Amino acid sequence: MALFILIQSVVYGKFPESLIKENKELKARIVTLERDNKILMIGGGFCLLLLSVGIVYSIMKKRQQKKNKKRQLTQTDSPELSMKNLITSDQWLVLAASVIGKAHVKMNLPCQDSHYKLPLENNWGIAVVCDGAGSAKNSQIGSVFIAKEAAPRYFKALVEREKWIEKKILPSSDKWDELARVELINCYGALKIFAEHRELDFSSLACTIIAVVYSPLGLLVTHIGDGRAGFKDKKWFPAMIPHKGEEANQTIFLTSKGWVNNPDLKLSGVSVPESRVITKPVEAFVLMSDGCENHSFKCSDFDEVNQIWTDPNIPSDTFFNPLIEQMPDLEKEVGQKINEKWEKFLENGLESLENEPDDKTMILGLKHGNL
Amino acid sequence: MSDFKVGQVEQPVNYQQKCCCVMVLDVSGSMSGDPIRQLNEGLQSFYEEIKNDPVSRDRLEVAVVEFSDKVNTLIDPSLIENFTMPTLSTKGTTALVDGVREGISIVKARKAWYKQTGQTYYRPWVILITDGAPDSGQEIDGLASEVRQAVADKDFVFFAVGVDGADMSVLQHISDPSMPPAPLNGLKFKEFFDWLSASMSAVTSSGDGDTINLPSPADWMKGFTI
Repeated sequence: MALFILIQSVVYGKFPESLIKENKELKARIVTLERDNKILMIGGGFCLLLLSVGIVYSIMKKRQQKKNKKRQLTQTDSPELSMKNLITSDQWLVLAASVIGKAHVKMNLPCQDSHYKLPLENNWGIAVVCDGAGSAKNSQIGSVFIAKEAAPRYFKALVEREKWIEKKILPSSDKWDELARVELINCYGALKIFAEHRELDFSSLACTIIAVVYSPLGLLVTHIGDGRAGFKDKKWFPAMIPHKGEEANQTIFLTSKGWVNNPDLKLSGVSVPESRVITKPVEAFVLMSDGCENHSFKCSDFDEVNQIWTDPNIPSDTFFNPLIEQMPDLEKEVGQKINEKWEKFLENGLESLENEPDDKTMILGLKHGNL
Repeated sequence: MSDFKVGQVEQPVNYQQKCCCVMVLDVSGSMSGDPIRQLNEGLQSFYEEIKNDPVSRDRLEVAVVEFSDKVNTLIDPSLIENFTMPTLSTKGTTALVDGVREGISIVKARKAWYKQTGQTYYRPWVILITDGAPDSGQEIDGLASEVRQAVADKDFVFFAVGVDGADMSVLQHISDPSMPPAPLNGLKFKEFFDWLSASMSAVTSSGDGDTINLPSPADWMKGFTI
């Protein structure tokens, strides 16, 4: 009975009538109790309400945070932020920067160079350099789109599809020739769609491309256009031959007619695209736009016997070695800021770099523990 | 915080790709007085500008041809450091076609030499400055088709500047439509040569061969409108 009364009092907030009829004192106490009960009920209800609101708010906030994180991951400006290691995967320290050339500043042109680095798992990664055509109106847009959007996505997908990381292999030369060509055609196609979507003339987006897949096993290199690439295996060696036209400033572009439908196309004796597999023990690698080549590569040599100039196309040991030797200690000292230091070096670290009229881009990768 | 140390960094010595610019200059009698004085000042100013440009001074090869009733090559294609700019004086009449032909043969020979010796080069320029009309007997039509063909073949860039009194219709006729002749505003030779040195700087820094972004000629060209 007492339990019944208790339940009644809690559920209804009041005591059964029959029990409170004759006892005035009890009545008074009950009234007080009922009032207190009501207060408790209201208070309890209010707390429950607050608690529910709190729970709902917390769920919504977590969802919003998840959304923000997802949005950051797809931003094209700084996709590197999505990767755990901004500069280094475990094995590689990779520096990359693009700097506007003096002549571009004078002529009110934007920097038409662009670059991207994408560390993958197990010390694999992708590095891309693009150089927009000087005369093409929107070439800086083409260069950014290819370097930061199209090329890294296509080449990353290729590496994953072929399971090279899992299988710990590099493709054969012939296979890489074939696969690289397909991905460059994909880049071409993506740029075409982009041009239509943005209502831009396709040829106004003209740019060159150098794409490198780096790994513990060596390098995969492919390119259309000029610029240079190299690697160190005790000494420095070239990793590609730039496409050069008759005149000093002529080259071929990703957007150029002819290479897509003509697998036999060559420029200055070099296949377009040119692709290479380097299976040497690579200690360091570099890729750059042509604004940096005279400063860091041996690009000309006079053959006394034949009285003729040649292009040896050799990365300069005396340029690169003093730089890579400093990288580990400098990284220890300044951490992530080492990339800013690299950018500063390209801008004005040497007098000749400071006076360079063309845009300068250089990606320099060093294997940890190698000096 | 430390920067990259460059004390040990040694750069390779590389040949700088060349650009040949031939100036074909009218020194006929009608240029006497102010015109020739201003032209000489403009030439000196151009010389100094190129000398002070660390890129152009290693890349630009200048040749100077003067013409009156005779043609005279004063400077063969040379880097700035290898010659001093001559001072011109007036004489005779206007063998314009012969002068331009000499300029064309200089760029053709220079280009052939670059190719033969494996030197990379930018497309050369022929620049004509005249204040008059060519002597009768000068074969304009032949020159006109030669220039237009060469420009279409991308052999060289041809640019004609008419000083006050120049026969612009003749200059129009011999120029390629892609680069029509320009009238010099008064005697603004200095401004023209400032523009030319900036243009040569743009050419010797250019990223690809087809079009160069040249500076605006508003300072020196008469009637220039954007």
